[in-house]
Amino acid sequence: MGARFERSLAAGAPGLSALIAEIEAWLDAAGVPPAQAARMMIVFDEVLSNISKHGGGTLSVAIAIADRRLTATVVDDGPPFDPLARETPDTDLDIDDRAIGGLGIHLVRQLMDDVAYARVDDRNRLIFSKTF
Amino acid sequence: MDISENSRDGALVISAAGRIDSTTAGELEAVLPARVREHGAVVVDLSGVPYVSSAGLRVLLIGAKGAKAAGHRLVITGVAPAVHEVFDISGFSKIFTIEPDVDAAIASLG
Repeated sequence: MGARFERSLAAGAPGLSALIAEIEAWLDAAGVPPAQAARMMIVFDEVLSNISKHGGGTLSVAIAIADRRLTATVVDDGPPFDPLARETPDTDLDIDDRAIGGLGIHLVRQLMDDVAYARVDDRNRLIFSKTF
Repeated sequence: MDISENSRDGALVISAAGRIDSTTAGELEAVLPARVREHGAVVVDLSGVPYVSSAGLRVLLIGAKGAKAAGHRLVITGVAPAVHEVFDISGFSKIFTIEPDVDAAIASLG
């Protein structure tokens, strides 16, 4: 049996914290083990906060879980923004040389099995999935 | 997120509880950089933290840089599995001193 979550939010609106809490509660109710849900929540925070910073207009989140696989689709109608086009940070540098920031999309790539970006109908669409 | 502070055996222990993400990291940023400047030894206890996103990593890195610049010590403890994985992915496991619990952290500072 599958479970599905769908919400929309005005990007940049102060509703991000509530949306994050709502997704967390939904993953728990959908039976995702806490340690796995924690990894997924990191990814949702990276993706949604990125859009709030770079986007405009409205963002929508759809999450489906079936056969222990989570697939999330995040769409926003802000300006074109491909988060996957960012350079991977050098995580071998020592403390003095590490830049503050730039790690978000690196975490998304590493914590998910698949991540794909497309610009479709004047919207940014990011799809990511993870078997847990 | 809840943040509490207490002094123990000459170290300042900052305990955080709750997620450290884009919506809460500012609360830690309001405390940590100042404390690592003021105190020679700071322990950040993350045992009540289920996960840390890049916004939280950013604040921890600011703290580590601040401590190093002041010649002070910063030790992190109570790292949950998802937090440990993020530390590994981001290379933070190599640049932070991480101890299993507050007792071990205090001992390492002794």
